Amino acid sequence: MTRFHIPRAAHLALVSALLLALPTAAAAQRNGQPASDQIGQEDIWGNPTFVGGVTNGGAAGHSIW
Amino acid sequence: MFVAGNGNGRVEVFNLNDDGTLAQPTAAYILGKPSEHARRSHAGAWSESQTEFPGTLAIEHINQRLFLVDNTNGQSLPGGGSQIMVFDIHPDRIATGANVLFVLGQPDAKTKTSGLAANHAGRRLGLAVDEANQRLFVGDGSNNRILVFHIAPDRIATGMDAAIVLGQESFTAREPGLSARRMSRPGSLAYDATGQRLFVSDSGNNRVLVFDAAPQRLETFATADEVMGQPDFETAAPRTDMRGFATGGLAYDDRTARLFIAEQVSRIEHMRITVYDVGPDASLRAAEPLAVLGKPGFGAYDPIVSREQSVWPRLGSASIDSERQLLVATEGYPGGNRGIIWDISPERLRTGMPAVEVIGHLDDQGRSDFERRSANDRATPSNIYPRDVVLDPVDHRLFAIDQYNNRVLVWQLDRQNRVKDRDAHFVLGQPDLYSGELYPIGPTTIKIPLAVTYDARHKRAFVSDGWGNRILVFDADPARLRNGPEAIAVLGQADFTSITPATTQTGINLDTRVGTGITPSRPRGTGLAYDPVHDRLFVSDGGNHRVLGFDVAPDRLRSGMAASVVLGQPDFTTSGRNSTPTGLYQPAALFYESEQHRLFVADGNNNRVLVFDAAPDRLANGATPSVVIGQGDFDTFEAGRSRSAIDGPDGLAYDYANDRLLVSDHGSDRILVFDAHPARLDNGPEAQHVIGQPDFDTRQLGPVRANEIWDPRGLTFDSDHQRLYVSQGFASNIMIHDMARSSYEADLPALAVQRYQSSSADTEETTQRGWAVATGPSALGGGAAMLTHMTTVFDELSQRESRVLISETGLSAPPLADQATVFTDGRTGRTTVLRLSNPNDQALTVSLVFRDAAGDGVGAASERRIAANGSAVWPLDGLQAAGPGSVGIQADRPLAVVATRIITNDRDEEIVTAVPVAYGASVGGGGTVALPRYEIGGGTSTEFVMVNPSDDALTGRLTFFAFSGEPVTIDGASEVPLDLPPHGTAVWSADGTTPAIARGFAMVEAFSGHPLAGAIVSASKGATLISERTSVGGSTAEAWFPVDTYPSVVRHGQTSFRLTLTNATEGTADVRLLVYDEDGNLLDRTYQILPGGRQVELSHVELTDRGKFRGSIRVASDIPIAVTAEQQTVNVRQEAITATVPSMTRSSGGQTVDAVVFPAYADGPERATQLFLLNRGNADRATFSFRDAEGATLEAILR
Repeated sequence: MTRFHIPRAAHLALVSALLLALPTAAAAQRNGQPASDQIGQEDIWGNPTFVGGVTNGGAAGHSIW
Repeated sequence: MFVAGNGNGRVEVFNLNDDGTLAQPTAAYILGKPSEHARRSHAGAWSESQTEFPGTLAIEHINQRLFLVDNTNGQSLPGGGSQIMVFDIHPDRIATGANVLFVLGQPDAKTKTSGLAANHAGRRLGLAVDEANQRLFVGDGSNNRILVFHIAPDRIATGMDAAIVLGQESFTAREPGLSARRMSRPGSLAYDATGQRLFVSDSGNNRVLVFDAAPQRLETFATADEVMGQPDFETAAPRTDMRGFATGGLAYDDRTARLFIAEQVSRIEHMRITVYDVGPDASLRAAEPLAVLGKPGFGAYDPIVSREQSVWPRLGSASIDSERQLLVATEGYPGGNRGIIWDISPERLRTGMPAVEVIGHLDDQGRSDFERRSANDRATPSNIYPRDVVLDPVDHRLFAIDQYNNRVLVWQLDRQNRVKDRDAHFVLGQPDLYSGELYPIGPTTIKIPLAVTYDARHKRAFVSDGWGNRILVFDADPARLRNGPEAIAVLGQADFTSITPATTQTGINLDTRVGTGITPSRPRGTGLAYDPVHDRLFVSDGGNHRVLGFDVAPDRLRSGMAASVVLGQPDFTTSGRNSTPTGLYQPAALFYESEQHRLFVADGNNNRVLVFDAAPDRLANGATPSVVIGQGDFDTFEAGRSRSAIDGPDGLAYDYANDRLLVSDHGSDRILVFDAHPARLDNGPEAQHVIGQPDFDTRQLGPVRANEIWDPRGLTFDSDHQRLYVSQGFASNIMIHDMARSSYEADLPALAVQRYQSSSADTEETTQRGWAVATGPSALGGGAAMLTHMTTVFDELSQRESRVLISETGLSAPPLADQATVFTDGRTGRTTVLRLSNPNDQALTVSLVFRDAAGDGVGAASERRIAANGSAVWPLDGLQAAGPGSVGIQADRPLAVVATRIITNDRDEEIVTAVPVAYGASVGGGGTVALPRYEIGGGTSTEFVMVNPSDDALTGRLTFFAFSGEPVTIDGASEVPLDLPPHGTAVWSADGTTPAIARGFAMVEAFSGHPLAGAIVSASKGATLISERTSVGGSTAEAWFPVDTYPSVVRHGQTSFRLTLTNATEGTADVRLLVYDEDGNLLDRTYQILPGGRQVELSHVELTDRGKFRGSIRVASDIPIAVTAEQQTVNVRQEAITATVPSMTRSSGGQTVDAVVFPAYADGPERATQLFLLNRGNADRATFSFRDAEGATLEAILR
């Protein structure tokens, strides 16, 4: 298979045009935006999840809160 | 034994032996939740089988029924009430998750509101049962009355009316009072079956009332016979010393006529159980306790969880086994989260005696552990009940208060301050990451920590120690920080062992008691902020209703040092809450904005945030604030919920990049975002945005999904990376919000891989689609994308949500080209999807020429337009039944092209895999292409795909080899001749018949022309296709793969990575394998000799010596070899989903490029995109930007 690369100069021109067209970092929040991550909650297999629980030792869970 | 755990939102039922000891340490049944894995997950989660916040319970033995009060609490939505749930507990019928038999105290089973009627109770209910006469007594605290229900099986009914009311003349009156007939906030009840007496804890009047409860004499608005703890019925004096009387939870021992009172007081140093003789001859009015349990004596004590000492023990009418003389108290937060059993035989009872058994804690040998205190074994490196959080932006660490476990956890983040490892690395306040004890006060211990801040310049952490009325200062330099470090100084106290509250220039009063600091429904009453310019520490001294400023430069920091300034009070010796323009009412969080030198003060109970000019030369004692947020002016203090009103601010953070103030509006369970630019900030501003609620007027407490917040406390904001961290108390986690934006800029170290993953929140209703481009360093080495497709499942038994990984598709970022040839699959049930992006700022036109396997045209050529900076996703549905073939793409400008194939399986789930694409015009010549992996048998099959992209015929053959390199026969063929006409396509499929998976590699030898070749390996489980991945043939001198085997909130399961090297030549290859961490540091370098015609496979564990790894692996060979990598995730269905991990250098050919284009970007409830960018040069900054199909900017949320 042969790879094709556009000439570097053309590539540079393309990227320059691209960058000119791009905005700077915008603060474009909306109400109720979702979280992107969390620490502290897990599903029963130990995967991080927003709707989790404090792992309570599974079937041997014995503590009281 | 029945134990109501309100924190877990369920009742645990333990089996007992005949002697009263536990038959097993774990609960045999769970009432109120569907399984032992399930615990409280959100407010309002109650039903006929689910309890919300179970409280008091009573057992009626004759008919084997459990009466349980299930409450809402102050953290829930207003208006909530309590139900009395009646469960069948007969040993033959009791079952985990069983439905309730009846509901009392509410007009029907669907209602749980606070009411006032014969069938409708308020809140704060107590229970006692008269078994002989089948009566249930209900203390209806908020209505200042006692209700009496007839509960005989033939009379009880859901929503029934009470027969009698005490404390009021009618069922519709709720007047509190102090007399022999009236009461104030009655709570716990106890019934003396022998004497037919009803004991009522009349907590508002600091007494216990005793009624003659004989059925024939008890009537509405009856007069109490006797009063306990007061000299007469008209006195309600609180006790003045610890030998005095206090009310609380009652339990009555019928055999010895003793009353046990778990004193319900607000200060944890006073919490204990007192025992009184209440026999017929006892003097109740001048009652003196026989003994104290849970404390060593009659004083106030440092809270300790041990065999002798208890913190906040609770009792109810089911707490005494009179026959065996056992008392069971339950003890929740901040105590031992356990049941404690004392032998209360009169001959053994003595003050401070040890318990005989504990329920809820085992040591590592499985024995009862009286010192352990964390419920659910939750003192682990990852569990947290947070109150505050602060970012260390220099060494990339997150410090978070885990109030529940009396510690501060320190997470190491990645260089962009993202979650790296979900286990904390260090702990302050505890000796290790697995303890959460209440240790005696000292320089290494913390009790009920409430706030934390960080001095990044001197690497010091400041921790507000609630119980200790002190601020501890820790050296947190990463070079020196270890678990359980000694503080280097203490503020608010003279030394490390004193905890006395004070209103002085050196003292503080954090007023930590129930309601403030412990189970607070209002803001915390303490907060910390650091002024990095002048090295000042500001401290919210909530009990004194003031903010203190300390000059804590390293050379001036001293233990017990004097504050230099006070706000909220005119001087250092005045306290008292003030709702005035300059006064404070329990100040909470603070933030020092160091560019304009403004101090933001969350004035918690005044429901406002005050802004002070805090430049040292302008800040004076009792200063007047310049701006108020949350109120329209300085003279209003009411809580509110609107775009401008706040209900109990409890966290502050500042976005320096956009001059925004973020306020944790605790009472409305939301974060408000205000424009706080000094030129624009004025009194009563309107918020720009709200986080955690859908709009400015709503307060809903859902299951705390990704877009919801419950109990927000301290905040911290990373201005550089536009990321908010929220302490979320009731949901017990730290929520992390990456702010939506159209470009992401980050440091990109040398030889490092930058990675982003889209949020894929399952709370979203739409899927964003578009494309992305990365620009920045002069030496970008290429990139790759992983498209992830998943669904969300809610496990009813555990009540937790998991993501089910359905397919992952690896795509190398393609070169920009104006020509491409793509394999298309027009066979039934398969759809090829073209994904193209136009990085030009002019629109472009694409010509598509479709061909069948023979290279003949299918239908007419078509032309399509892609907007400037736009993209397109074109499913080639029109090719159905056209069989395998190809599409030739020609554009009038360079564009980026990738393609996928979708098969919808019998679960209606889309299995997506990449299809081979040849970029640019084909050239002549011949050669051998290695296809590094086939799998057949055992539910797997392989399709070998070969496309001739050129105008000349292609001849050759396909041959097969075992993993060992030996030639093999597949499905009866040792080789398959190839004779592809110009632009022709061939697909050769092999299923295998063996029960085990046979695997190996294949070679495409082309005598003329260069085929586009790939192998698509499919895995099925029975008739269900579960995974497909494509490896494209070819050899290279260098390949570079991203590796990430950690689970994320999107990819759940166990992930492994493997690398396969195949030498399709006749010579021996000398292969270097380089392992880099995510910051580009070289971790390992190994060599692999690979003879011609041989293959070797290496796992990520073999390559990195780590079970979990995030970084990259680079392969360099002296002669080109075929290199492929795969990532396999065993999802929560226990199905192996395998994806080809694309080499980031595949399309850049080992060269550097100026921009990397990712033609496919999708983010939605079932779609996520992960982007990888390689920097093969020096450290630099890289920018990812996002566009939609029409070329408009796309506001992406990436982690």
